[in-house]
Amino acid sequence: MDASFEAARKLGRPFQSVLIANRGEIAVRIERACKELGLRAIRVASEADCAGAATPSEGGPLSIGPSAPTRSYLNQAAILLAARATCAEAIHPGYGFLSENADFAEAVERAGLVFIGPSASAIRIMGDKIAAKRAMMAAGVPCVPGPGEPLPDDFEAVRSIAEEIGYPVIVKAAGGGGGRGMRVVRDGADMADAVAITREEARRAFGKPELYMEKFLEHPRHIEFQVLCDNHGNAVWVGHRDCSVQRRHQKVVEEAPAPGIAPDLAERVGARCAEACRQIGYRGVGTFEFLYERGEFYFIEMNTRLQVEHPVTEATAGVDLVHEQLRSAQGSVLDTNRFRGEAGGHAFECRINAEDPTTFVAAPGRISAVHFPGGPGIRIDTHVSAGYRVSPYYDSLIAKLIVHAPTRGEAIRRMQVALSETRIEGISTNLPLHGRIFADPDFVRGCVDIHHLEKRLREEANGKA
Amino acid sequence: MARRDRSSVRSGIGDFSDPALISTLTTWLGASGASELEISTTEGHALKIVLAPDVSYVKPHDAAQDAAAPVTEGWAVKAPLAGVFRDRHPGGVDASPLAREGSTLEAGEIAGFVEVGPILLPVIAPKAAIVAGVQARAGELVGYGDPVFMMEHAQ
Repeated sequence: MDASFEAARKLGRPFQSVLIANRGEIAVRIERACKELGLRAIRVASEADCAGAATPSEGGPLSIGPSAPTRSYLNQAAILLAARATCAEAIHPGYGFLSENADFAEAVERAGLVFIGPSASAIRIMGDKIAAKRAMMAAGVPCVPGPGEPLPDDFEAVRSIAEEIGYPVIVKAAGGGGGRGMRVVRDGADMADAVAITREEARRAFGKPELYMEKFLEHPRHIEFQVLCDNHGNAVWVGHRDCSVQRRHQKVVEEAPAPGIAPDLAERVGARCAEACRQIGYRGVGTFEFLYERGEFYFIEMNTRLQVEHPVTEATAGVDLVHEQLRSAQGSVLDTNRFRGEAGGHAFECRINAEDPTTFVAAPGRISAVHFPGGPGIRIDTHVSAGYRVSPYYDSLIAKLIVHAPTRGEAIRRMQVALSETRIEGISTNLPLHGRIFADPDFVRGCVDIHHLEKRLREEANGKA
Repeated sequence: MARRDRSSVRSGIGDFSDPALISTLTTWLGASGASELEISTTEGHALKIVLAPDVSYVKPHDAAQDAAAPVTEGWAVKAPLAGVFRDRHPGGVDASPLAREGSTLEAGEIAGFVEVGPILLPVIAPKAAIVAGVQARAGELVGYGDPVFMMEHAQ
């Protein structure tokens, strides 16, 4: 590897073509951004997603493997070979699939292509919860109380750590995520079992037995900060979002800005996030996820990729995050003065999933008719149209409905009308759930915690019984 | 049956410890006229096969030698990988297309190739049949599983 290549990799490098290693609405979203910047967008897809699509010579996607994700969208060799066959110069991983896979980022760079995302080392740091927490503490990002190091084997030492933090505490697997590999302990008597079970789970599910311990927050909100970085040491935060409306750790509705957050506190935390990015040499877009309770932010993890809910920040910060990702990967210098952190208006996003509205079981099938709303302040990100077959192989997100209005109240009203106009026929969707959320007085008032939706669903279920 | 043969070819890309795969690759190597093959993957798998010097070519089958047999239903020979379709071996000197409309192919016969960088995978007829149509154009991209040849069974 010669020195000029190393330098180019550090600073970014111009490219004309981008292979999109993803599917669904995000592949459409990225393809649009590429075209807007005059770049050749190359779509690849599994056999299931190619069915009924145009051929590559007619502008359709190139089939790279069978329907199972492990043999297509997660198959690194197949994607790299497709990049070679199509003469792609860069790869955009989207979200999910290989987007936070450090080995893939490395393999892309080794193949002489640009990985549109952070360096493999930054992905690795953030993929390890203990390493991530340590990096955050070093940059002054507020963290959940608890040591930024693995729990010792000595049980008495574990118990004294818990007492120092104060019960309840949560024991988590260092390699875990998505709500798996964690256990709440409310009392010292339960500690031995909790540690033993979680350690065994961590060993089996994540391949490393390390655990760490933090203060458990009872009624937090989920608030996250969007950052934007270039390859030249510039980093800026461009807004925050509230993603507290969740079910089984899956976000359902997101909004920007998070309501009720004092601007000076947001500025302080946002600036620390940007500082952390500079310290770890981060590039591209990223998200710092926090729990927020009683006026305090507590870092939980960083997502080293574009997020599903990025459009609410785009609407309120006046930025195209995918354009910025592409430009940063090409080595452009980020003008941080364009961003003030304060939001213009208010935005909501509803994730429309093909699922049963009461059991939430995925409901694949053929969409017979579809009508999406329109008008000022409405954005639809989707890959579906009438006749589209929702595949059982992948996640059930079929569309994102995003609204933007001058105030939160107006945005809620706009979403209510937009939801009432939306029709998706032939399959079940969670549209009725969104209708109920936007009619829920607590949600309309704002600032609900991460347990609110599940609590409300339990109440509804009990009310019917 | 065609589907199953295809997947057995495909499954070996990331793992070169399978003896059946090594045997298949060795056959292809002989068929290609090359004497040495080296593959490494991003997962760190690597394989090198060197042929003994006296391996003979697999000659493209001559369509004219079989009388046109009556046909039954049609089916497709599909691409084993996404890449550029080659109707003949790119290293060949006097090569003509390995299969044309009307050609008869034996089971296991190479009918074309898919090329990606240093990798050249053969498109193999899984069973004896007559080429009813060539779907892919030489030099153009084909996707994994895309039909390359439409076939009709010889009776």
